[in-house]
Amino acid sequence: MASDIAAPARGLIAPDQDFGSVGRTVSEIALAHPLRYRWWLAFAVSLCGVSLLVAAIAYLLYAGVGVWGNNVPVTWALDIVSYDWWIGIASGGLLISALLMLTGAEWRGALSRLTETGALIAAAAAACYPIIHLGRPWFFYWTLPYFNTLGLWPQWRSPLVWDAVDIISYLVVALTFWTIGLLPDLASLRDQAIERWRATGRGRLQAQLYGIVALGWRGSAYHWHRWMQAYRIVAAFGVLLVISLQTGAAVMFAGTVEPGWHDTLLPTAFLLAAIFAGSAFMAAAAVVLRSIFGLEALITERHLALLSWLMLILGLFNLYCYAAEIFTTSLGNDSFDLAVMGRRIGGAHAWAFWTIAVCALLPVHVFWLKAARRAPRVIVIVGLLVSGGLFADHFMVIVVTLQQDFLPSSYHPYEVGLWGVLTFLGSIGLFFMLALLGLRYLPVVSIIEIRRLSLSIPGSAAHGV
Amino acid sequence: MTPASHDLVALRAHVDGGSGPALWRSLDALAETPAFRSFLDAEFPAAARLAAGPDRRQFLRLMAASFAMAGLAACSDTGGRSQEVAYVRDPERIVPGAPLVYASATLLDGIANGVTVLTRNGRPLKIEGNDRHPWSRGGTDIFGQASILDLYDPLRSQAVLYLSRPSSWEAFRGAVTGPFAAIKADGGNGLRLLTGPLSSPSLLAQVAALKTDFPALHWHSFDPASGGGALDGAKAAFGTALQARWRFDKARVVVAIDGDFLDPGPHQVGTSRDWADARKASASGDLLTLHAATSTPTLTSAKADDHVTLRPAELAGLPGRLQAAIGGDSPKGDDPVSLWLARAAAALAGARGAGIVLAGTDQPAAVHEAVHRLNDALGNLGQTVFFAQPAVAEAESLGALVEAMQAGAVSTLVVLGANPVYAAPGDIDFKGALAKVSLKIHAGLHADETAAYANWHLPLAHPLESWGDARAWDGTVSLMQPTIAPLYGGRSAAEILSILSEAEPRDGLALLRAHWLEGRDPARFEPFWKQALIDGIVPDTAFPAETVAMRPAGPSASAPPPAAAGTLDLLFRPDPTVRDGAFASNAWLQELPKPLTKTVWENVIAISPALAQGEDLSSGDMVAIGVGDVTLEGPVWITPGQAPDTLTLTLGYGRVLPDMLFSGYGYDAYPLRLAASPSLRPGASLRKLGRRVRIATTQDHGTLEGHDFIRLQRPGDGSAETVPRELPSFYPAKGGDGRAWGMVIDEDACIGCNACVVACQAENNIPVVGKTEVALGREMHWLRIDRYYSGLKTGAGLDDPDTHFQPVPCMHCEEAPCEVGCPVEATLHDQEGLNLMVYNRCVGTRACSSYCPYKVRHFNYLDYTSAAAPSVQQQRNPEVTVRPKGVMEKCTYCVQRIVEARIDSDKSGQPIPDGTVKTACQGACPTRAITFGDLNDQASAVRAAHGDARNYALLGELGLKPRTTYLAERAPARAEPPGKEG
Repeated sequence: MASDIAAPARGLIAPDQDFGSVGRTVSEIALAHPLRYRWWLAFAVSLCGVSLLVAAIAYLLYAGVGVWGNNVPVTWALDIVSYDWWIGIASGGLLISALLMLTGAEWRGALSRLTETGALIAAAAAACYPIIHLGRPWFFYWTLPYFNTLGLWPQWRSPLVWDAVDIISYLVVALTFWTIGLLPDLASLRDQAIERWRATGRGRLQAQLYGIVALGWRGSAYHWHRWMQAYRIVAAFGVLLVISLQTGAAVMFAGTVEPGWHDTLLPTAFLLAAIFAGSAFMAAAAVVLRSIFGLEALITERHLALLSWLMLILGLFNLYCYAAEIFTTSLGNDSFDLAVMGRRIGGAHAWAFWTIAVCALLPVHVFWLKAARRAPRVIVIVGLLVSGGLFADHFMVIVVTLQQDFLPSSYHPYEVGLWGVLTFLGSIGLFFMLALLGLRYLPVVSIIEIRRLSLSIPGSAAHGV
Repeated sequence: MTPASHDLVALRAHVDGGSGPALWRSLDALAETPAFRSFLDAEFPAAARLAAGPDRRQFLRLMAASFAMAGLAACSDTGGRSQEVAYVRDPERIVPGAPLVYASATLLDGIANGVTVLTRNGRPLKIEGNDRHPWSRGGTDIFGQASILDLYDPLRSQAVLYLSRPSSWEAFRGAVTGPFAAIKADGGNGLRLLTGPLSSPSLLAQVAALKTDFPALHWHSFDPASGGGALDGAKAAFGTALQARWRFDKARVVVAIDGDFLDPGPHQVGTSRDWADARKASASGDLLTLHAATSTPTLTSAKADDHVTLRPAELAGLPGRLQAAIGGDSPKGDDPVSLWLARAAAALAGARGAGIVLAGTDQPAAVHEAVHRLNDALGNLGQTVFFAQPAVAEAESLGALVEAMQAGAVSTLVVLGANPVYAAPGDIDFKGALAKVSLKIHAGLHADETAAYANWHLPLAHPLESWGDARAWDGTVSLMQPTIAPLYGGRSAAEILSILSEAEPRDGLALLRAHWLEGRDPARFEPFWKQALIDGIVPDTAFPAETVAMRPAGPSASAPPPAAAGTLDLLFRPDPTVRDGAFASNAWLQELPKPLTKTVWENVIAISPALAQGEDLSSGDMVAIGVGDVTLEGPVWITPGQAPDTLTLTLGYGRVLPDMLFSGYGYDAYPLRLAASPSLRPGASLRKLGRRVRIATTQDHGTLEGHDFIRLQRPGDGSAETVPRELPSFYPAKGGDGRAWGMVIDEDACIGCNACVVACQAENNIPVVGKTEVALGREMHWLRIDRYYSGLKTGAGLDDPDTHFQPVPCMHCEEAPCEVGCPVEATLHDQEGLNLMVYNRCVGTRACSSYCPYKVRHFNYLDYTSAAAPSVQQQRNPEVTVRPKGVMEKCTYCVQRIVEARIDSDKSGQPIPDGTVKTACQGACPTRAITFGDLNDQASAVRAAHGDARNYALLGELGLKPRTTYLAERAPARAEPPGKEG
């Protein structure tokens, strides 16, 4: 690893790529739509998922939130689990992108678009839940501070208010971050589309649309200067927001007196789990995109190795959190905390705990092997296992505590209802539909970042356009 | 003013032409003569200004008035409504919105419980206790509390039916006049009357009068809920059928052989009060202890300090073994039964003349007789055990009726308020015998199974809508007043008998008055009658204790044959909530968790843990029970405390009438019952079917899991509280307006009867959600009764654990965690320490419930309220919001009652006296286990209870300062090494 870092640019761009070819490779996808049939097929499937979501939400609005399997005591279940999971993936993606941006890691170029887009659309999938999980969704705005004649304000001590503020801020920042990063690329697309139009006489509308969204970007030094400032500031906001959002979501639980929730470790654990899930998901997505669109030239083996290292390190952090929680619970010797821990490990939903252990914490250790760090398939499998495994983490934290907290009498089993599952499948459909639209119409990797990278490689910039 | 001359012709034209004013006071005014104007100016300057034409301000003022008047005028549009009569005089006594309370009685098995009925705007809304009633003393039971819903039951019979087709009372009368005249001419031959159990003096007098008109009339009565031989036992012992009465206040020891004096039944309210009062009074000295032996767990065995479980055949031998043990032949062996016997015998021997041995109502006559003899031997008779007339009058049996029907001796059968087609024991073919009766008349609250086989079905009026009387368990005559006109045109049993037998049928009031007027001085009748109606009782009508003399023991009754090895005993018991099926149409009772199994909406087969283990059964497994040539399929429910090889079946379910609330729930146990021994049938076999069904239950986990949610206090123990009430806090103490509402619940007095749960449901418009929703975990009861099993008291294990009841309303924590969670401040504290719910602010995040350590909050996951039948909506308390879909709700300490008292206090300037505010649960409790009031009032009862050494907070270590606290259960001094906690 040490040698990898010492030679920053080596291996990040394939030897046969140059300043112009990286741009063409990427914009080709957006402009020419090379995978037309497969794209339409995938889009149709994800559209089915979205219609499922629409149907599930429509039925929920008609009949009430009781169409899910939630009950008393398990008032929060698949709804909050799904929300926390999606927002965790989103946070992880955004945090990685923003941190790498701020620390100037030059290898992020190939991944930044992917992580930023992923962060945005995962947040969109997450954003379904906070509203529809309400008993009276049409009054969702009561949780926000707005001026009204009754002089009613939210109850500021509630973590849910801050969570609502966090989500909205997060969506704004993620969207801004993504748009800023996209701007020069849109200009590139515009330029190439105009070229294409002039050459073939086709694609005028496309060129005009890209022209509009490129906001008149000319690539002047002044533009670049401002752009870099804005990008960095928003990235810094993003980092803060991810921390605030994840710890805020954790305080929603840690702020109670409930066993298994009332724990100062929880915010840290939430944050680390979110980054872990997000990076694992992004790693898997990167490898999948790489093979679909033949981006081996841009997302290289070294990128894969770096992602593998990241997963391994985060996996160790998460392992520490779990170990610390079990240790402090045992040391604390509170009978209710111990009982919740016992139920997590051996109760009706013990599958969740063991899923975390087997799917999230264990597989990353394959990356101690050099061969695994460079094997795309291993990364996809581990990435999906980890991100899926951390779904079980949210399930475990929320459902196991709620199902029985203090009084044995208030125990009641929770069963995932059909409509809850459909809603979750629908949110996955929504994610993929947005992802596919992004892939179709936007550069899948950041053209300018890749170009900047190619500039730093001696000998390749000479051929620049 | 000088009269001006008028041009009458011109004036006439003026008016006819429509240009003049529509109203005029004089011809001057009409003519608008100058003289009139000047007069106007002088007399009414303001009017003159008006007549002169308005200025701007005046114009605006006028326009404002005009618009207001126009609005009023719009209201008085008479289009199509000119026939209405104005509400000129208020109906007497009805003040809109103000409650009006009538004393009345609710009926269970024909026996009265004195209650009061609270009505608002002419609608009865809530059953409350009647403090003046000498038997119920302000207490109520679940059946009484729920009877208000029966009144509004949309599925009640709503029309006279002839051959199942709608008919009318006139048609009925016309149709029966002829046949009854013929029967009368024939001396009543072939006429039979079948009723439920009757205690009503006026009805009994009517039946007696009927017998003089129809000398050959036979009167039968049928009570499916009773299956024992208490009266026959007394007859065998004393020569007369008498009911045992117990003076718990004079006793130190109670030994209950399958005792059920705390269990549901017409005796429950008064007996449990006697028990709880005596237990409380004894706590300062020797605690009144209860030793219970049962074959199936009951509320009585649950409250026992020392209990044992054994098969019915062994149980029947217990009085004899007790007698022997007291005589010095102490039982050998260290099995639980022998040990229990030794302890019970020692206790009884140590309290001669101050002990009570009693047997359950379902025990056969032989056991009752043996118990009476044992009491006699111990010198308890006349000290703690007394005998008095039973409340219910004796009549011929159902078996005799069916025999006569089969013999063709019955041509006309009148069934009043009984449902024998459904509830007859399996060996009495009532339905078959009905075919031989030519005229069958059935009157009932519902068009039930028997109605389907009758020629005529008559809708019976609900007790809350008819005049009547009935005796309470102690004999006290309780009067029933109608609180509303019959909703569905029903008539009372007395009115129906009057139609059948009298030339001019009389109404209920006339019949009742006539009965009570008889033998009284008419001049002094009115004051007596008025006071009796106000109090709801006829004073001094309780049956006095009779002097009894023990008859020599006859040939010792043959002990029941020992159970054949490998076979099972079947016990039949009325269902704890729907009883014999009479309450099956009541949704509150269907959804009320059965006190011990906590199941709802169906009956289960209680099976002992040992037998379930042996047969590899778990709760919900379907089994087939075969006995004789009858088989029954039902789900088993593992019930700790159930005797091995004994199954308990409850009655009242398995009905298949279409379109009824109860259709399709549970199994029907009646076909397995035998007339001779209705509560026990040995020789059954059990077969696992391999199917499972989902039983809806409100409490899946019943052990304490090592925690101290339930605490015991034995003599000499210190405070039950283990954590200081004031834990250190970063936050300043909250201020208030001086009041601090709080509740203390005495676990020692709580018998788990559920009356509070139903009362809460009635008071607070709590919806019924149905079996599916309960199975999902969405029941809405604001107050639940947790039932825990432990070994705290006796150290007993799984097969026969100690049982504890803990009612759990909202704790109204001073540091309420729910309030922190709510993002919209829909749940918050008021200045008197109430944790309030603002329904219309709630958005339904459910954070409050997630944050609540007691899980007392309930969420409207679906729309549970708007689909209720219109008649059921009539029952709703107008003082309490009906909650829509998506809103959280929970116990409010009956805030509407607090507010009412607060308003009165604010108006009068006086503080709220202690005891003014009674929560619904508190008022319903027959044992007075719940105390509520102002904790800041130094003299209040709740403050005193709070200071009791038994007081402790549930989960007090969380530092939430709950306002609801508990008084630990009492337990006698430990006689042996402590057992392990279960």
